Amino acid sequence: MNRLTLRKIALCGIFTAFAVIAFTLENLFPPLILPGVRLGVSNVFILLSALTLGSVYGYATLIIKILLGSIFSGNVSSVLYSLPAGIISLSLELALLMWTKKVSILATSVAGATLNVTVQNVVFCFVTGSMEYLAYLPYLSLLGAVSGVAVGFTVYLLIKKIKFPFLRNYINSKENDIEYKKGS
Amino acid sequence: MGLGLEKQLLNSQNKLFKKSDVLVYALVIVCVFFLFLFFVIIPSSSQQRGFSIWVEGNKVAEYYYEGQSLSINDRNFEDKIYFDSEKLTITVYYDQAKTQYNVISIDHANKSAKISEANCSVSKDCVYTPSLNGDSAIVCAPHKLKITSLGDLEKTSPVTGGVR
Repeated sequence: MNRLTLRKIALCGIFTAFAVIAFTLENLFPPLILPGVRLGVSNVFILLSALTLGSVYGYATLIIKILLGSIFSGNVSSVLYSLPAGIISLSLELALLMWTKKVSILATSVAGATLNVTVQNVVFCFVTGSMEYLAYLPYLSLLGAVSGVAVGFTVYLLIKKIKFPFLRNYINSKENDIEYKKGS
Repeated sequence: MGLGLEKQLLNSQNKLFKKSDVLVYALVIVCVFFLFLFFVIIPSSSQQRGFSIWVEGNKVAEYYYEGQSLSINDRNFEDKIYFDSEKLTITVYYDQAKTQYNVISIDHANKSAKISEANCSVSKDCVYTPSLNGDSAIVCAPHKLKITSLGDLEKTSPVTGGVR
């Protein structure tokens, strides 16, 4: 394990800690309009982790945040529907950002957030056996898109303003990689 | 120097808007529109007779707005479900010690009901779920509680709770 990997793991831990704290704090406030609807501040840190460190670290942040967050909020059964939704939407976001390179962070976040709430709602309906909850799906997806705008804009600003140590995943340039290793 | 190059590359990559974004936004808008079409515009709500209370997938009780009657179907819940006819609330307990509970408030004027109190989790999603109307339901996932509307007289009883 070289020093670069160690630094990445440390930074991933910091992002994860922030994500869990944001998630737990958000849970203390009543939801916006419908149950389960939140601004999703924790997703800022998941996106940052995935963007600056790499997709594996993004998934690690996501999974640890969901597991710890559900334990802290006392709703362990929520793992059943938030984990698949989180993994699917993060995969979509990474695919949009890293493979195509033609989509902005804002649009990625909107698509990811909308998919997240949709999958979460559908899985929730199957897990609890209550198809009546599908009636909330349109409202949830719309609110998800709105929260995606907020999260996406925050990540855009953060990446623009703050000098993150590992941005080569997002920039994806060999030349920059070498330059950067010298710098650190 | 390395950081200067990084900054340059970053600013060319990190834009608020890129051309392909239009496609993503259009897709999201179309999806949301169709969801609204299927779930909001087409279905219509109707007057309700009452509601059923389900715990762990079993129908344990039924409440009818007319006559304010509560009938408990499950023997195990005979001493765990309480109806307060003054406050118009039904309290459901899940254990003998009565530590875990949900309180259902009944609104006779609108023939509706909602969960007004619970100690299920920190976020209390069930308490913030909108009142019953039409074919809707309220779910408390930690307590495995579900409340479903009893629908019109003409309709078949929503026993499965899974068919719209």
